[in-house]
Amino acid sequence: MYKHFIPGLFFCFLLIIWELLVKLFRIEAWLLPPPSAILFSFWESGSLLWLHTDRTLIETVAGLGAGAVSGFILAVAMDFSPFFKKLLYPFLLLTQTVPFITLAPLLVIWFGFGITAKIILIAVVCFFPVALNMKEGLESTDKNLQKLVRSLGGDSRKIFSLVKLPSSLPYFFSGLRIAAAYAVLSAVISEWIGSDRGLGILLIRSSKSFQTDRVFAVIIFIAFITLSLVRSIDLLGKKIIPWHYKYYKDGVKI
Amino acid sequence: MTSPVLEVKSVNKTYEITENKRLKVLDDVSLELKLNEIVAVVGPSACGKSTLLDCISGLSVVDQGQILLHKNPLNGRTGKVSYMMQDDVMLPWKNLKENIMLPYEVNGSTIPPEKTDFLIKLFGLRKFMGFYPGEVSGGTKQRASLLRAYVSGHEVLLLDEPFGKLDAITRHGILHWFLTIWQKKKLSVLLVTHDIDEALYLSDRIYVMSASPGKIISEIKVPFKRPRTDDYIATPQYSGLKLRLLNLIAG
Ligand SMILES: Nc1ncnc2c1ncn2[C@@H]1O[C@H](COP(=O)(O)OP(=O)(O)O)[C@@H](O)[C@H]1O
Ligand SMILES: [Mg+2]
Repeated sequence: MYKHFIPGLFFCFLLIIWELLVKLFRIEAWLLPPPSAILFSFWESGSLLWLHTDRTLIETVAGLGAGAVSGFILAVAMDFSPFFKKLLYPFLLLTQTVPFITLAPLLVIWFGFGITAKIILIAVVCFFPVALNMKEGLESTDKNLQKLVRSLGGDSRKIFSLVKLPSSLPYFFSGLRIAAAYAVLSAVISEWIGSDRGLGILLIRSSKSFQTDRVFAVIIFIAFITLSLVRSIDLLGKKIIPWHYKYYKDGVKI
Repeated sequence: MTSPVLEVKSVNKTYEITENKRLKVLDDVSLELKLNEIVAVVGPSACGKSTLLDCISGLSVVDQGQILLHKNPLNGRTGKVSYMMQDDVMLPWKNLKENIMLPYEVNGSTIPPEKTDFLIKLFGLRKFMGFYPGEVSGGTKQRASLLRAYVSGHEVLLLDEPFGKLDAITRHGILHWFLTIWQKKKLSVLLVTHDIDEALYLSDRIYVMSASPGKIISEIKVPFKRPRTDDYIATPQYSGLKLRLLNLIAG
């Protein structure tokens, strides 16, 4: 509790300074609204925010899900087939440097302004961190643990289910965590290109009409959604892989 | 004369460290293990003792030579002998109970609870059953991994430094249990140890290995009658044997 108290206090202090400076120098609200105006905007545009949130959330979750599942499957397939790994891994490494967000206009040409193009883009963006992390997790599995299951007569499928899969779950979740942040970002940006609904389009509209207080409100809301998503993934990870958090108590291997 | 349960015949093993760096670990190693025998393998560290057990268990493939179980070549098949590896390997995501029962899980068979409950208590493991390996001491893990090797149920038992991390009292209890089940179940045990007193207390014969590359340089019959109570240690024969072993290991 105390840990959050001091930074919280400091944050309130900054907000007050902001409020006072805006008032003192009579800065126009469309240039920089005071925190109080932003707060009011939350109340005023609350229903509007929710209206646009559902679309963005659906895109984010669907895209993240599709990307994570296919990334997971590819990593597992590469683990089972060395040939497959040799074939695909160079591409995987190469494509890591491609900013996939730039595919958005192309996807619009192919799939239109609907939700499909957005989900595909998010899935592509989320695919890589999950696939790469999962692959690394599978490869870094302790050889002794694999030896143990093999010595008991276990085949490669047993080794996978009893050793490799649980061992690489922490890697999977750290990939998923990165992907979640990318997913919200990609949803917002792809909505900029064109959409009838979504937080991204609300942001652009508010900006074009110089409703700067609402721009701030939407930005804060997007940050809040990203944070909640990452938090949920962390909680899910803690539930599914408790040994990881016990084994590494306070970040130290015990 | 009973025929050997396990035979290691002229086994050679070389590890490929990098493309042009190779390490010969086992050099023409031969040994045998008869039914209901305890045979110890002693030798300086890194001489290839664990590698030898890896080869017998089928985890490592030999370069040359043969490993026969009841005259049948094993050809790198695993799951035919019980093997307790050196480092008390435990799956970190399973609690101690699940780790001990792993042989059943791997082979998809059901667990006879009464039998294992008794053993868990005897091993002093009851209160740790729900703990993860990361939460218990090295000695506790060692007992659990010995129990797991026993639970996997084969007549040949390979043990790699199985009692090293136990405190004196636990060790006494476990050695007693070990000798009892060894006789009752007619187990044939190949025991790697660096503790000469332990080898002399437990085994019928001792193979001495030389430093790298590992070679069998001597085979010694342990003459003491079982059950070995403390008085055999006081004999001049005992100190003579011990000195001889120490000299052999030192090279
Ligand atoms: N998988 C491996 N790859 C390469 N070298 C190994 C491997 N396992 C063991 N070695 C090396 O082989 C030698 C013998 O190891 P080991 O059999 O563990 O000896 P011991 O059990 O007698 O201490 C050591 O030098 C060790 O570093
Ligand atoms: Mg060893």
